[in-house]
Amino acid sequence: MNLLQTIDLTKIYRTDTVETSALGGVSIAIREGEFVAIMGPSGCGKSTLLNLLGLLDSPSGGQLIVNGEDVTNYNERRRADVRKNTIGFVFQSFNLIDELTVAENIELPLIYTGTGKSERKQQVDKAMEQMGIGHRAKHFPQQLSGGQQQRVAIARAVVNSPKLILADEPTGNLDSAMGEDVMNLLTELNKAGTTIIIVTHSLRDAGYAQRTIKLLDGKVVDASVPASTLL
Amino acid sequence: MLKNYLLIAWRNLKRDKLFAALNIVGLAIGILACMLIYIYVQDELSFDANHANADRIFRIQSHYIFEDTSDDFGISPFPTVPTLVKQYPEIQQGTMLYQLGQTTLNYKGQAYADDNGYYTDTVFFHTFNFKWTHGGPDALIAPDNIVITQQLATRMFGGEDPMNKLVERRGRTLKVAGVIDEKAYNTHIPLGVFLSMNGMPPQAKENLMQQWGQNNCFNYLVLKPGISAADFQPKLDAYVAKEILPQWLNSGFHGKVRYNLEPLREVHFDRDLDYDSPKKGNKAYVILFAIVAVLILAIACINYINMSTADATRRAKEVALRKVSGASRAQLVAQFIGGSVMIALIAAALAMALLKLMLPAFNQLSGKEIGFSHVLHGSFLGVLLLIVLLIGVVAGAYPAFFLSRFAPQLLLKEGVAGAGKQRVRKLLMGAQFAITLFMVVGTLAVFAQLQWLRTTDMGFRKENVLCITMPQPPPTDTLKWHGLLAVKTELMRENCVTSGAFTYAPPGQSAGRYVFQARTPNGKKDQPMPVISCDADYPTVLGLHLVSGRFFDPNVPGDANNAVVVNETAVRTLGWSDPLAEALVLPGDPNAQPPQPDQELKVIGVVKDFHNASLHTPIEPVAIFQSDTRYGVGILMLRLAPGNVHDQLATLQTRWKQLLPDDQWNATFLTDDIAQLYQAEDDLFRVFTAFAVLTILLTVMGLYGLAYFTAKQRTKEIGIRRVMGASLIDIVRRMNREFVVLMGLALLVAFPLAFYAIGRWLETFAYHTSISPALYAAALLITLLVTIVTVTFQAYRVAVADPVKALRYE
Repeated sequence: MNLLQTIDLTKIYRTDTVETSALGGVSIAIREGEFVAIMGPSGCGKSTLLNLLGLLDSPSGGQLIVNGEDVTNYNERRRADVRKNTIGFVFQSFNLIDELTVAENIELPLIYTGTGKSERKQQVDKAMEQMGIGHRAKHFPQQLSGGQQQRVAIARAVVNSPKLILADEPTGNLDSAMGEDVMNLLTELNKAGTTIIIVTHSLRDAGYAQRTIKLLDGKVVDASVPASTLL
Repeated sequence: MLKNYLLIAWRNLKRDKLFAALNIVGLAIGILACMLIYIYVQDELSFDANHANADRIFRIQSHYIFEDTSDDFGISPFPTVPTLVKQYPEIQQGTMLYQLGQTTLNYKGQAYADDNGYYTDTVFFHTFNFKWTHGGPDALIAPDNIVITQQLATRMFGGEDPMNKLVERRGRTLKVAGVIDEKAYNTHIPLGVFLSMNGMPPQAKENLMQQWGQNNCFNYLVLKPGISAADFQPKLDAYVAKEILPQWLNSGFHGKVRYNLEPLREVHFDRDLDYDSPKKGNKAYVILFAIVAVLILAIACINYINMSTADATRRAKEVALRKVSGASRAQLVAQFIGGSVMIALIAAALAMALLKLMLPAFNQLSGKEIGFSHVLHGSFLGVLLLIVLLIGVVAGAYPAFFLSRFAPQLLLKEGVAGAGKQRVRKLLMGAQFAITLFMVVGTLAVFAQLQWLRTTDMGFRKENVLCITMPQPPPTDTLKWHGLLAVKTELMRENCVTSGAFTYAPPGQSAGRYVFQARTPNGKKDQPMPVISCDADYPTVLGLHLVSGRFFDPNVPGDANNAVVVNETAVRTLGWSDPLAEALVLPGDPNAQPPQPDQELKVIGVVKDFHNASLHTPIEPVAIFQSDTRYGVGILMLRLAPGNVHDQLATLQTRWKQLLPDDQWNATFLTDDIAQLYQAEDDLFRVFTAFAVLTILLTVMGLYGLAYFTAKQRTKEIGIRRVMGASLIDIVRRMNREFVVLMGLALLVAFPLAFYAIGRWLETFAYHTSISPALYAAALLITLLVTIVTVTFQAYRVAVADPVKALRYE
């Protein structure tokens, strides 16, 4: 079954003087349990597409269906509802909140789903154990290495067991060893059933995916390239 | 979730201590200003609020209307209350204070003078509820009982129990039967010594009951429940027209009489009456201070909003992450408001601590006596909580709405700087400048008027004149009265004294008003005039200028009883072409015992106009005459030679003790007495200055914070400019330009408003200074200087940094 589907999705950015078409009609489908990489040169619209898939932005045209629901014209409140129940995010620059501890950062999505205190603690502990960072629970992000911070970010992304994880250049700020570590984690999650979509420049990272969608100038040039053929 | 919000708010504060300090201290100052003004306003509005029937108590004002003028008094005749109470069932009770003026009590050979003595009835202390330290409301039933204030009791008896102590007044033994705490409640009544009306000699009482032509009592009525002043006033008017006016007309008075019922709670603020309680509030000032409090709080909130939105860049990522994690806008707004309320609570706690420290200084500034324990009850804490919530919600709402509206990916990528314009922030800063300019101009204007009041020529020489309060022996003690004349002669022998004169009341104090009859080109006219009752040396001591005729001559027998000197305004008002051919007639009173005939006073001289009253009121026609010994010997004015004032006073006091060992030395300088007339303006100036300083301080704090964030935001730009060759001055000037332009726009709003407000305030004075454009320029200069110094400090800090570091900023 398709977890995500886009039909002729477009995104145009407008200022007072300039109109930029970031996506010019993208139609893709992501099945449940897939591990998909989105690749393309700088400015091809990868991050724009990821933002739309993650309901962080709204399209200018076309349709977006998430888990069978047409979310194209949802307002921010309804998009937030879908996000918190369905999607986890991992960013290149980790985007942890510096004022919160590791445990508090991971707990964040659970606060917005109204989870009770004791259950939150249980789930946070589980996520920390899963990511191997339980011993750093009370530390602040600035006290961790890049790899550890990204593990925290992944723990935050999975703590409420989302169906989908979107990762934008998850290894972009990490060295190769830490990057491999992170990709292995994502692979483990995928094996456990979570659908993963990553945006990446790295052929190595794309190699972890089952399929790669190639974008150029806001359009899909190939959506079916098996990862293995890229290496 | 609340715990999460508060936790992150607290950690944000700890993370940027400068930001936290500026916010908390700024809000604390705003809250403190609000609280101080609230205390002041509440105190002013509390006058006479403590009496159980306050809403049904009315004072009787008397109004005497002539052709083109009127006399309006806070007092009314002695017979008023007994007559009305008997006549009208609508009146539950009535009470009166018959004024004795300064009253001296003797105890163990020592004289103790109090400025306010009264005869009053047994109803008085049941009508007005005071706090009793000894005795109670029935204290004046026995005819020889008196009630005094705690202050007088302490002066007379120290720590001893004052109850049943026997004191002496004018040969009569009186017993202290009650003591009231004069500080417990605010009242318009000048509290002092209360003698029982039951002890007034019956003949005196009977005479007074016939005197409808003299106003000598504060009279009060308590109307029954359900009867309003509007209901009763027409009946009172009808009674006055039918029963009282004819008696006035019989006394030789020609005009109209009206008695008004004045609600008790309004007496404190009514400044338009003569013969009224001396300490008056000013409702306009109360409203003004309330507006100032709101303005200062607004500035504190503006600071908070500006700094919070400027700091938004730092929190943009957090907001984005929360949105990504599913937070709704409402939840984000709640978080920010929760954080604001927390900061406001901390600021409120700091404000309370500052309030405790500053209350004594505030009391001195405002002339109040408010204790901290008095503050901590009633509505004060409720108002404080309301302010905290208001600040928290209002000041926290804007940054909350501002940040939470941006799409998450925008916040993550670009931060807030690229996501929104700074229009609102500039508007708020402009509003802040406008308020500051308004306050500074206002303060300078008040100062200018106050200085003018203190230094303007009043038409007489007020410096170096010592005013000594003379004892008032019993009327029948002729020997003692004549003995007082010798005191003047003896004191004038001292080298430090150049001249001396007796008067009933020096300039600035009321000596009475009489209604004279005069011949005018349009026929006979009744003319009310303030009078100056004095001896022949009075014009010389004060340096009055003679326009025509002469002053009193002790060698001319008629001058003692039949001569009068008038001022130029009297001549003009009465239309006299040859004043020295005219006379003023003081109507007699055929009903008095013994009957008093008309008294003709021949005009012997015209004096140049001088300000006998405060500059709040225009110069009126004035009559100066020598009265008999008794009425003219209230104050001895001595003009002192230049010299050491301290030594001069010591010398005179020593001589006084030799001449009048049983009488208290009470002396003030005329300049100080006149300055007291402008006490309200003095208080206004000091309070306004204090709050103007607070306003400037808050503006500086806001500017400092805003300049700090602006500099931080423009680090890269500044670095590029420095690499391209810009000098330090260029950078500093560029940063200042934005704020100076804002100030220029702000003054377009502030100055016209200030011009209007100052004009309206100056109109309350009959005479005032003119406010020159230089004052506005000075206000602008002060505010500009403060702004430039503050902004330059931040600009310089960034400008001198290594440009390469700035370019690596991203």
